[in-house]
Amino acid sequence: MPATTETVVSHGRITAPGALRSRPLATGIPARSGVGLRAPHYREILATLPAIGWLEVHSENYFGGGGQPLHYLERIRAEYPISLHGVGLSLGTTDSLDQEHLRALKTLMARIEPGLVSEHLCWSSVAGRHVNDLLPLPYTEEALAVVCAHVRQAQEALGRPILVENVSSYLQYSHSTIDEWDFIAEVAARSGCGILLDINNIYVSACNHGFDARRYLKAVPAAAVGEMHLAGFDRIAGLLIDTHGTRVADPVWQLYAEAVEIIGARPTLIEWDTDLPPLAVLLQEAATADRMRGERHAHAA
Amino acid sequence: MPTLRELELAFVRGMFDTTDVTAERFICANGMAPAARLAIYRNNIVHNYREALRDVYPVIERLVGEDFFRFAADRYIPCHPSCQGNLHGFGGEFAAFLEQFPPAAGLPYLGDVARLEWSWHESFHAADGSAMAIDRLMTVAEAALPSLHFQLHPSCRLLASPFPVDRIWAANQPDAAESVTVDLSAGGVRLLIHRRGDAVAIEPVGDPEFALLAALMQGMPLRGALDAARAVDANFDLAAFLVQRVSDSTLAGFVVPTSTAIGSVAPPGRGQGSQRSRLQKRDLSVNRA
Repeated sequence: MPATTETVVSHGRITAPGALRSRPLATGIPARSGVGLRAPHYREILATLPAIGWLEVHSENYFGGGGQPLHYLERIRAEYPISLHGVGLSLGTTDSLDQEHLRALKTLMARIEPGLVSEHLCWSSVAGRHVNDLLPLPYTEEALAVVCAHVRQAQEALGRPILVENVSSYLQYSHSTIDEWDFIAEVAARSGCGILLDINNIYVSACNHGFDARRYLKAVPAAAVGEMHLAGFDRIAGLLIDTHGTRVADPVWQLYAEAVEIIGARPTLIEWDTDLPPLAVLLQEAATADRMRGERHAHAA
Repeated sequence: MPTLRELELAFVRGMFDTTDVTAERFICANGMAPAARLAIYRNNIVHNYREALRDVYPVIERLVGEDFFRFAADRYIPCHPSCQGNLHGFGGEFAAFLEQFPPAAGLPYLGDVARLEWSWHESFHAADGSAMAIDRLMTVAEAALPSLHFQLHPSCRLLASPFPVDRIWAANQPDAAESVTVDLSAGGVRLLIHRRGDAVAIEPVGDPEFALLAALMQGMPLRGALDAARAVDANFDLAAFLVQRVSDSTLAGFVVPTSTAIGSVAPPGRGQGSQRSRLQKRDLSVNRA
């Protein structure tokens, strides 16, 4: 058996190894719409190559380092720019940053050459115990120092700036002294990171806590915003909950249009994590974002 | 005013112990009780872990039913903390938990079925191993063979069970025939769980091969591993094992100990007939020293 064939068989690749680099790799994420890449859509995306600008994955889903997940991601990466979106680094923890987690992310970055790498402005672990959820921080000078130190460490370890995303929240701490929009702006200013502005999360938190979402859009430094997210929420027991399981709601589309006017056109992701619909639905949502961005950006210019 | 550390510790305690209400003091009511606000996070967290367990253990869920599975999961979650930011690492002790879980005592095979599902899950996500060409093995001098340390593919897992867990697993796959019955008294199995290409395979192996693979996995050199196999079956066919397990990538590489490395590699192109054919049965007589 020739050695090359053996390699192909052992990795289970359907294509010849050379096909992975059949076209030059585009590393940047264009200011177009992308969709979240989830396993049930792998084959359809490869078979149909829909006209979307880029795709985003949850980094941790590929930390295993092999098998089907990486195999599909690499094949899709050969066709589209990819953004790596982390959910587990816990930038706001008072523990030290998990070096193993950072190493796994760095290994994945070397393999995928992502256009963007992002994480969340939150915490999810303490004293070694993880809750694997995005918990809100108190907006204090102390928390600001913790987050900035961790963002700097992460950027140093990964060798590139990251984007940090605002999370939706269902509570506020009574000892917070800084508004969330000023807090995230300060994180960007002090650590040199970019901002992933989740428009749905702004809307959800604004409704839950009674602040003005437009004030948020105006307060964040436009130049630091490297990506936007759009997703669906649910209303449960008087609160809006960021479920990522429905279409983008009308008021969130409206807020997105304002964000494009105020901040500018940015790569925009349609996020959908639970009750995943057919790929066509995600592509429709992405097309809506493209159209809206085109109109509003032209309008703003 | 709590420090960030105090807040985080109290918050997490309250997520898994509803009697610990310390974190409520740090939260604005603002139209909704702090306890109710924290409960949203608690519900999200428990829901996420429950779904993670369902993803990894679909056969267990099918065997015990959704309600019982949820009941078991909700008792597992608070006392088995996740220790990493990668949710795929959650649930590794579910098998041991089920074995000690009194309501499941009537189903003694559950633990091993769960072990099989966890092995499958780990194998699915494991790193890609490099393929080993059989030619490379054939360049090793015969005398050096017993001292080689073989590396198993990162996706390899071994499982021995007194129950036919592979058949239980197969009978509870979504595409299984409706009317399959598994005879629990049919005897135990020894399984090699590994990836072939991208697909995870659950492969029954014989006792001697299982003993050999287990010894290699523990880092034993081939000599000791072969002893383990031949303690089970004195006629264990090493050549056939090597040919099969190199070609299916179970054996992903080997290390020649430094002391024997020099001179152990056959000079290329010198017609070392007996050495180059050592993978044939007749030439394989590894000393059991």
